[in-house]
Amino acid sequence: MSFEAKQITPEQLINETQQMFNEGYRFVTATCVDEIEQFRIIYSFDRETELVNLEVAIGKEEQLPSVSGVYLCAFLVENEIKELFGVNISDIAVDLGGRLYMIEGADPHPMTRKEKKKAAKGVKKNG
Amino acid sequence: MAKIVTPFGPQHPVLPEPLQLNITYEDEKVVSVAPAIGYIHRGLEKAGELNDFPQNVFLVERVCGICSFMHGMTYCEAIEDIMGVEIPPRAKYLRVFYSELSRIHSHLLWLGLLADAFGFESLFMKYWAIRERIVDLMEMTGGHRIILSASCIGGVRRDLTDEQISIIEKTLLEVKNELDHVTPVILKDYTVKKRTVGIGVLSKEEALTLGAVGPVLRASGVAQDLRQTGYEAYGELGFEPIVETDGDSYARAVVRAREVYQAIELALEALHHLPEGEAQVKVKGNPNGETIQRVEQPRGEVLWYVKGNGTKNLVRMRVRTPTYAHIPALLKMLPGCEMADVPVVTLSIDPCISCTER
Amino acid sequence: MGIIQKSQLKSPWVLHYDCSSCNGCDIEILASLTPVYDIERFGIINTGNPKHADVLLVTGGVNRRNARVLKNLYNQMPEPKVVVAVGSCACTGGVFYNCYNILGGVDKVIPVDVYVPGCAARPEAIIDGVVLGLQKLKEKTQMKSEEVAK
Ligand code: SF4
Repeated sequence: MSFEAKQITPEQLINETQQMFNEGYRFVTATCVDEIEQFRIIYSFDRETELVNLEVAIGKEEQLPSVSGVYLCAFLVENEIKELFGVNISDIAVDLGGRLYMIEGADPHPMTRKEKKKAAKGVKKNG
Repeated sequence: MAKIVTPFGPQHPVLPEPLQLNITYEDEKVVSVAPAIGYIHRGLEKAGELNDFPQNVFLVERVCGICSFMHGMTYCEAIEDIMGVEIPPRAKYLRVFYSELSRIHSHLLWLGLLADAFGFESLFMKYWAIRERIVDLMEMTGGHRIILSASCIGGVRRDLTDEQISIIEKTLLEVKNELDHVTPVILKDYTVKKRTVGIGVLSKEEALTLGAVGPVLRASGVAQDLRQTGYEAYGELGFEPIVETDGDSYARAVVRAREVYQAIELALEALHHLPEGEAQVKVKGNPNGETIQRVEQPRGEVLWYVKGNGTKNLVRMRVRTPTYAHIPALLKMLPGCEMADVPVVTLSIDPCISCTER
Repeated sequence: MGIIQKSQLKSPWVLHYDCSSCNGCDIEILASLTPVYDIERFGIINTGNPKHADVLLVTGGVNRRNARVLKNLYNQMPEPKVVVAVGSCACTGGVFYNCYNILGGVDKVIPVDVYVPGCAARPEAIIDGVVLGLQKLKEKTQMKSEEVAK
């Protein structure tokens, strides 16, 4: 299964998702990838087993609109991304305030990657 | 009438797993539901970035003990896809066989739990006794009763001998015979119908917009099954999804009860057409690139996203499991039903919390 | 030993709690209740209520959120009680040892009497573990009655 994604900007996100909704696509999931300088979020949709992806790239501090106004079921995954990565997603339909898994007393955004770790890996490889 | 809020879970006799639903009742009717999850959240996706990618196979098999093989297989498929590895035909058929074995196991387990949810204990025992036959097959082939660790990157680690195949065929036919005695109870019994028909209804439109997958979607009248895409050897085996139209708990039970038979057929078919040759190819190098891989699990569609950067460690590994997709649907199904039906409706989505929270 | 203590040993009631297991061990616990393994031979009955339970079966490692639940369940059980950690996860953290939300084995939170290894632990091993736990239960009962006698 090949993996193709249509690149869009955060401003286009709501319109594009609305269009998907109108065409009868089912929301599958959103996947957040931490690329150190920025976040990439891949939204996947399905219609009769055909997979379509939309991809948004945003800076670490930027705000991203929520698609849960269009697909209600997206609230769960958006809360997860907000909690685990610290992506600033606004207006989630059911906002749990970054306390979905309630990880207390730990690193606040455990899934983010740190530059330092990558450098350490590089050193290990060379040495 | 005053409203009362009671927690359902995290420790509840019906669910072996801790899912917490804070349910607001008015009289005995459910008014609203707020889920509280996180009791099983481990942080498995992060651990997948810390381990080497071949080691991850064993980790991802423990995303969920019931679908262990399916998770392992999908992860391997994703890595193979990135690295451009073509697995031998025998491995493809073996993967179909192991997948269907997991499906039979999972559905029998669930049918038993459903019976237990409304207090039909003898049916529960009956289903679990039959399930032990399948578990024995898993132990004989995969080497373990529950964690069916047969997949590896580049094919299948556990090849079958002719002797094993004949035992499997014999056992599967016996299981089918035994099921013929039990399935009518689920399909026709008055008590079962009384507790499931018309309970927790999900219409076709709701199922689609709420993102339901697998048997829940098919019970609402949408003929969608990822096996239709013909991954591994499903394309060559011929396959029709099983669909019911009522969308209630009963329809979901019927879909699963019928899928057990279909899975037995498919498993036998796969063994029948098993090609000769190697079951595994050697894989060298590290994955560099990203991919999305989807597979139909017993509970529905699972999605794996894997990204590697040419080192031994992955950059990102993500899994979206079927129960994760079912939680919004569950929140829709529960309001309006009676207090006593909450366990049945909750079970009808076949919840697997350890998948959901990883 | 009074009649209650004696019958407690002959028919211990177990409570099962799933911390952050992968389900594998939970299925095996349930499987040991079903006809093939039939734990009821030993008079062992599965209960959902901690206040009725003598033996606590815990599967999976402890995470930040369920540590509190586990402690609560443990405290609600009447003395004497035994804790059996089922599966590698419950013993040490198992495959999940390097996950950020796993604190480690069950013994990080409550005292454990019997460790049953295996991933997943086999039903035979679980039954063995519970039966071993019963010896501990007996010791604890004796200790308690001696204390009372003093
Ligand atoms: S010990 Fe293994 S089978 Fe048991 S809960 Fe842990 S990972 Fe799952």
